[in-house]
Amino acid sequence: MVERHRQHAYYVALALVGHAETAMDLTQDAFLRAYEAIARFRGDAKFTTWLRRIVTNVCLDHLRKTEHRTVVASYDEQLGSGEADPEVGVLTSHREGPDTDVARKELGSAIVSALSALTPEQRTAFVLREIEGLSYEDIAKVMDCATGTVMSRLFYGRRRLQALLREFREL
Amino acid sequence: MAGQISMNGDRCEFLAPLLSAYADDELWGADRDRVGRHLAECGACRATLASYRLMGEALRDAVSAAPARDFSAITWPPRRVLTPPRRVIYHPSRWRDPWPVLAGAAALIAFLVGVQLVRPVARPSNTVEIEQLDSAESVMVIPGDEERMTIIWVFDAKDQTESIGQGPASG
Repeated sequence: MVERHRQHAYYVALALVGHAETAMDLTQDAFLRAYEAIARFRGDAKFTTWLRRIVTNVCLDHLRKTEHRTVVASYDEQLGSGEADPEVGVLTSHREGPDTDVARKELGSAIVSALSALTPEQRTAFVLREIEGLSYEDIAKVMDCATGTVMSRLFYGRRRLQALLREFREL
Repeated sequence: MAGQISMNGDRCEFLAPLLSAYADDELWGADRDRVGRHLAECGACRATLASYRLMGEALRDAVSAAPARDFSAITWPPRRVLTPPRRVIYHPSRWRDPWPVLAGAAALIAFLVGVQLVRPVARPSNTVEIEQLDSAESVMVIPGDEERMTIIWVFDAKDQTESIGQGPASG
């Protein structure tokens, strides 16, 4: 089980917490919990869904305990009220040019950092969608919420990310 | 983008939540057509849509570019700790032969009843011995008038020496 899912679980944890060592610890913790709870797995959900739920719950618990927003403090200051400005954050015009790869890496790093500005729920929905490629229905199963809630979390999460990453408009 | 009105009358801000779902290919039917028509006319929303997709791509790139972790370096707890808790399940086969349990319960009940039957009756105070008799009953009540009755307590002569008491008792 560990061999088969560990790397993917690690990527999810990494995207959620943004710190390699912490993601490593949380992945290990998630697999330990899964191992101890495997007897209670009744097969009424897919095993991967069950395992994702454990991984995301472990990460969510961690995020809720350690809600630190120091990484995005500067972003919040720039944003003032923190509300997204729909006019900013459009990133699409920066995909062409010789520095595209560099800009893309910087953007990726910035997104990982900016994710910490989202609520744990928004972040989890975003990561499950973008890293795991889950449908809204599957995200709802993992997060134990309605699909409409998933849609809402993704929308507000993306809008906030857009606002936080507006500097990349000039890349 | 805010407040912009497309030719079909949809304001961008009203369609923004749907745009996120559209980007995830999670929109169907009339809503999808509505957003599609709006996108054909609104450059700002097309840019926003592309930015949503770019954020996902950049996050995936950033996470997958992270060095793979060697999970073999993890110190897993000893095997005994990893052993899942024993499942306590009462398998139906254990109840196929209930007679030993029922026999044991019956024996216990019989024993308790027997103890109650053979236990000597405690002798009440203020009794007077009048004669010895042979009776299977431990207590005999002889109704008198409305205010009096006679109660005869019978004791084991071997143990108590006294065997019969008689006296007035108020009804």
